[in-house]
Amino acid sequence: MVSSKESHDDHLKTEAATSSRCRTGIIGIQSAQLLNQESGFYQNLFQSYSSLTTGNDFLQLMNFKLNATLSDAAANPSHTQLTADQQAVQGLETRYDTLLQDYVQHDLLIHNPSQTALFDGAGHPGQDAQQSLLASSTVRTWQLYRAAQDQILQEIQNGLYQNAQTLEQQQGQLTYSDALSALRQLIQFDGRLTTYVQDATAGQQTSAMPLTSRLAAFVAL
Amino acid sequence: MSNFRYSSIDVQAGGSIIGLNAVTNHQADIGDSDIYADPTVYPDPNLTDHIVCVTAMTLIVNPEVNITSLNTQQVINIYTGVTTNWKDVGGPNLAIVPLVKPTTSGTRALFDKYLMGGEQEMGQSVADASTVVIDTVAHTPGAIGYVTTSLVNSTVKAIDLDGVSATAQNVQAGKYRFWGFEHMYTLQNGINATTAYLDFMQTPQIQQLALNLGYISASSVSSNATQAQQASVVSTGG
Repeated sequence: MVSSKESHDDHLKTEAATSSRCRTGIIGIQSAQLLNQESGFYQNLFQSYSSLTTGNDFLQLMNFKLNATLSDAAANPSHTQLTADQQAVQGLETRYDTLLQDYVQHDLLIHNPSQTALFDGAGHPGQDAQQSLLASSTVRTWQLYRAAQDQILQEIQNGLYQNAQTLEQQQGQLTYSDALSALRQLIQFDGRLTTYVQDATAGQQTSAMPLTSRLAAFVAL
Repeated sequence: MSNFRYSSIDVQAGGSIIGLNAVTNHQADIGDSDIYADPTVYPDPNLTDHIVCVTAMTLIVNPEVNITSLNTQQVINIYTGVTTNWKDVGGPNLAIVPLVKPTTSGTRALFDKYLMGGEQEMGQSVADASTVVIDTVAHTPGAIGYVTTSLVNSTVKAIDLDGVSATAQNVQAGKYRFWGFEHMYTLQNGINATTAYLDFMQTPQIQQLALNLGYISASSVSSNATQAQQASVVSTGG
């Protein structure tokens, strides 16, 4: 015969176990969400980082090719050679421009409010705004460099080699270094975000900790 | 910032390149600059750009010069010595005195890149301080110079560029292109007071203060502004 007190205790234990399983389940789901979020962040960051470093290569290659075109132009090359040089530079321009547009349209934090919220919660507010500014700065400097570059190519095409050379020295080099500087700052910024992701996820894990401790104590009763 | 009430801030003027040199030579924690850090001159990978606001630049003339606007080509002609008298651009019969800032000036760098389109500036040298430029323009008949709009006062006359005034609205709409981002460069050296100060610069109260002082909130300059600017740069051949 089971006394009513024992029955009541058994009932309490069953409730405790059920409640524990439920809460453990919630924590499990939270941890899984956290891991998914973290994994998603790293995946996004890796993609955008790779894309921008590829852009950095395009930009440097473009400048190298522009200077090679100027050297070719000085040696009185054939029209075919100059056209090929010009097309090579313009091809790189298009690829870099597409890459940047794609980054601005899809990879910025402002398009991912959940990521922004996590950074804010981890004590790193305003990351989305600063990233957008650096991206605007990258686009602006690129546009100016592209305009200068196109003008230099046009001068070469018109047979005005000396003008092209002067323009390269006085406008091309200046605008190229700005474009490169702005892009590198954006790459550097995105690289730093990985540290902030770690801070954010570590913060969430820490805040989940006391709940786990309380549950352990409850089950032990 | 309240955590750093015992920290002090020492500000020194000198120009954009001075600011960049000071921070990269570890003489300052923050280097303010109108210009970008050229990676070949400042290769330190820790050098970090913090964009804090936008400043519009404007052309100013001596009040006796009765013109209200110049187009880009007229500006280039004035600053390359092709046009030497105001009457050739619709003004009085008066010699033009273009004022040229030193090559260390961030304002000059922006002027060269966004207006001169690769042409070399010629004119009377003036110190790299907008207040000096304003004072010189105010007291020199026929003078023209370029300064940040936040410092323009009634002793000189600001003129439009291609018929567009240097207002925040025109910059934000992408109609006006003679403007620049204001950079604060650091070496990411983990100094908490520096980080707190940079965060403080982004707070609404400081951004509002910047607006009150004639600067433009950086976040208000959308990509539309840069897109529209591209069109204007291409159309003027700049």
